[in-house]
Amino acid sequence: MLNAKSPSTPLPAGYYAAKNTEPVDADLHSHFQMVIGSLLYLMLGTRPDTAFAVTHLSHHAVNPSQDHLNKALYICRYLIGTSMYFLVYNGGSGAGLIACMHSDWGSDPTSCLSQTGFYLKLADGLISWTSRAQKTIAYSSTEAEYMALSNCACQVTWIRSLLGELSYKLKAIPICGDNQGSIFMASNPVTEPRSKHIDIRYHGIRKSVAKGNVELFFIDGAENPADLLTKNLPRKQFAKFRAQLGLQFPSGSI
Amino acid sequence: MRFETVRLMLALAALENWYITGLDIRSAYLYGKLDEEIYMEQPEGFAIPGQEHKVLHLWCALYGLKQAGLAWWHTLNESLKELGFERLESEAGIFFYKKKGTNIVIGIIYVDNPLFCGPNKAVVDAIKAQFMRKWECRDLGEPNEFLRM
Repeated sequence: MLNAKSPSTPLPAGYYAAKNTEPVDADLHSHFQMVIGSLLYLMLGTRPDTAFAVTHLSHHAVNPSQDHLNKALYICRYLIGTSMYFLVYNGGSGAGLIACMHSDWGSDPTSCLSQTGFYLKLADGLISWTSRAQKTIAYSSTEAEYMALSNCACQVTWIRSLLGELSYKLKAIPICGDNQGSIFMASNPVTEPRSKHIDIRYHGIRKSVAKGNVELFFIDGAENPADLLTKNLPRKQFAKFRAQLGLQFPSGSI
Repeated sequence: MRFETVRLMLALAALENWYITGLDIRSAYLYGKLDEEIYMEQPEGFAIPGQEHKVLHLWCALYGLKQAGLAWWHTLNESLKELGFERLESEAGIFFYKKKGTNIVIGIIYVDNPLFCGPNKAVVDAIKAQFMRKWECRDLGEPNEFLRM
């Protein structure tokens, strides 16, 4: 495996892991879980670039197919080729906390659930990242984005209070998203026919905005690195966004 | 203790140009004081001759014991309190040392791997020395890895 040819992305662009309909194969099952378990540890530790790929496959840990196992090994090969990458925190950058979020509406064709992806950066390197399927079905991309925004704000609030306890007084923390509708909804207490059904727990974001804990910014969707946490991107885009996470080669070159 | 917190603190230390130093506590779980009665069978080959039918009463936790993690954590908590640290509400693994007239020290503790950091090397090292008198530790110096990361 060490000599294997290494792909340039964790999973092929647009790959979707379909559910296995065959009965559980015990050997495959334990092998797959072992591989995924190791990948999860790496992902949680220092490899946000594999977050989507690993969580996407780990949904099938209950009943994996041979294809799932092959794809898990595909991620392993990607990691071998990029094993020298590590997260760099640049103290000289003076860069404060900033969050970035994205959602992919209805990205799972089986469950119709959307994908949430967000991260927090400090000193120009990622400190926290999440890639997960949303729990409720979103009726629109704005709604999916709104729910992701809310989850992201929760994380920001926690980091804020942690730093607050260490006597840091922080200004509003910027959260960047690429959906105008959700930013509008979070900043204005409006109830529209198309958003009136949204569960009350997701409106926490409004409180965070009103209290001045977070500040929302719009960025171009094509320039949103959090995209990497919601889907399997093509090589070029992937490399571009990965470079923005603070994942670097030891030499400092990307 | 979450990985996120470790990364947050490392990024913070980079920004603030703090000094960081790490320790590894030797056989930490064995120090955990138990607050309940637990007995074990005598280990094979180590039974006291003539009293093979008896069981052992545990005073301290052992590796593999379900209660070991929590028992250790309580014990560690107490000892950091004695050193003047306060535990944060929002993260159970971060301990904050803040006294008038001296620089701050932050303890980042993942089970039995503490990292101490702060702006003043002398203050951090002094706290570390106090901590090392309480526990038998391996001094890792300025860390270049934490939990294999």
